[in-house]
Amino acid sequence: MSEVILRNVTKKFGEYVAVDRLSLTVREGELVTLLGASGSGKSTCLRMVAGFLRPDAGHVFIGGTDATRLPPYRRNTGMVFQQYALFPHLTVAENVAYGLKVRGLPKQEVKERTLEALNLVHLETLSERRPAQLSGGQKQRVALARAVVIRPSVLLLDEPLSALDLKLRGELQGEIRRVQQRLGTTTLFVTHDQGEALSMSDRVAVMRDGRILQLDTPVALYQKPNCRYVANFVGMTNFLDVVIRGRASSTRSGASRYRATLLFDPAFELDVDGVEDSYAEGETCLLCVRPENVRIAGGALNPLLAVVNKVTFSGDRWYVDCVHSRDTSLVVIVPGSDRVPSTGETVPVSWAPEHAVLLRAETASRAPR
Amino acid sequence: MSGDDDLTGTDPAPASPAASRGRWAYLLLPALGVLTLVFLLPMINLGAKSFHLSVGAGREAAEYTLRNYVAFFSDSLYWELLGWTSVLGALVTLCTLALALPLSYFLARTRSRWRSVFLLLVVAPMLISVVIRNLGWLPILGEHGLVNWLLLSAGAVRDPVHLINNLLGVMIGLVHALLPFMILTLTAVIQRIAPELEEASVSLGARPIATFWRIVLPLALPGIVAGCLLVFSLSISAYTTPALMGGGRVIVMATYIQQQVSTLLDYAKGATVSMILLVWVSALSIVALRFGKSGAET
Repeated sequence: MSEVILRNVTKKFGEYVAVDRLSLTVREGELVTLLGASGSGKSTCLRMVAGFLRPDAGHVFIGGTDATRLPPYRRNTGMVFQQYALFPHLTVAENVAYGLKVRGLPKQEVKERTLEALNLVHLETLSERRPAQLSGGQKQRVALARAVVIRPSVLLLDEPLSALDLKLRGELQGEIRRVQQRLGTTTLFVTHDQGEALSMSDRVAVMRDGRILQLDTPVALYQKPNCRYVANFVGMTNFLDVVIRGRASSTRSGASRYRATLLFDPAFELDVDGVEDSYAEGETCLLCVRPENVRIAGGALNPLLAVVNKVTFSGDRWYVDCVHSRDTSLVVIVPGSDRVPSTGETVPVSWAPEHAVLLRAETASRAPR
Repeated sequence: MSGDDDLTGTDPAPASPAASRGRWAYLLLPALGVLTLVFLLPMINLGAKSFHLSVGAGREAAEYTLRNYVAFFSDSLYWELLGWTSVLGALVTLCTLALALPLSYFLARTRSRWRSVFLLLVVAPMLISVVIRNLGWLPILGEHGLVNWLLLSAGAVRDPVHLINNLLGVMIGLVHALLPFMILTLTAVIQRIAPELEEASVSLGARPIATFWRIVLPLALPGIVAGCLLVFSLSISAYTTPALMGGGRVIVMATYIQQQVSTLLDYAKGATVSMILLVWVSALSIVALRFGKSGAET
């Protein structure tokens, strides 16, 4: 058993609260990502699990034992750093063998497991090289091998891909995920890149001001964000202010569907699913809908007439900026091969009710400082 | 007029980095001129004296000879002088290293806002005249000094301990004087070792001590060697401290030279020993620079 539990963990730096009564469970074999902007407390969390920082309050459990007061060298964690942190005076093989050697394992076992780990990341041919002779991607694969060779209770990845260029990043995302799943290592991954978080994780925790705003699977996080910050941080979103007019009906998935009107155009009526179950009539809420779920086509349930403001081409897709009224604008994503309206044209835009999410205005505006 | 062209900074297309570096080199000329006049020429003059035999006070014979050097290397007394000076240098170097290593590690790693104050305190002894610095030790280390007073009143010793006017006193003075050089060298090299390397080591299961031995020490080694060679060469060529702290009872190369030149007026012998010391120290300095550079590359 090697689950990782943070229970009511708080960490302050002077007056500044970096992590605020945070609780999180990473289940055995799971990859959980801490996603957030810089200063959100994600790295502080990781460093408390590693043991480089000691929480001011709360507990850290690794594999069922209370590790809160254990020094880092007793925690059996494998860490991968943003800047690789390979030992420059040791060869690739010696770097990988380091954790085994300091554990005093027999020479033969050290040799075998080192080779095994190098095979895992396809670097067996470079074992005698020095880190300075490796490319960025190779360095990070060595770092990964060095971290997993000790069979850690938890693998800690601190923005491991941020120093790499875009193409390598994608390659290494797959590599890290493959190794992690093959070994079944419980993993905590820290990143500010939402694309990375969505594509690699079992679950993602979006962090802000030392707290977790939402902890969910990548799909749920993207499709059903629970607040404006999450909706905005993960992917692109359109926000519309709406006023609740009453309950429409219950959907198959059990979520309640509401009828609402646009705040600035009460004549326009639409249906939308709520993430909570108690929206009062007359309440002002925030509707969010992803640009790729908006269609430019008439004849739908609730078409909204808007004027095309700007059209941007980006290869596989078009971004169409539409304006409905002074406070209502929408971005629509149209496949790159499709025909797009020209600037100044008035077009009907629409979306299916299940693609829109209703957020409470107070949730939306509860922007902590 | 081409000289003017070289010195103007308005050239729209500087040819190459090497060329522009060559242009800046002209700024060294005044300093080079002064050094040639007051340093290089007297050194050549002194060096020349070592190739003549002494014929009485302050005079040398006309013909060139290597007999001064032959005499030096065939006399066990001189070997002893060279040996003892080197032993003193080695002891001073070891003490300095032992004292500087933990302090440098602290200075390189601390994030305290007092860091620059600490650094200033480290450099402070270098700002005081060496004579004053040595005189400052007298009331502390002397027979009726602070240390002996403390030891006597605590009943730790019956008679005053001799801490000055002997080899120990010279060592204390030299360690004090040369510690800043070692600290600055080591701090610079430890600062270049990324703290993540230590974190990586510790997270892989190595205790802090093991991390120091396996990671920090090997990576700091070029700087350690450079610092040691620097301190060693400075301590074997030091004159004032052995003269003052040794109370005339400790003879090292530098004090021996002084004796030959000012007391016995044997310029030839003084020049010979000077040249041998110069070659020995220059060789060490060149090696030290090499190590310092290779450290900078890692």
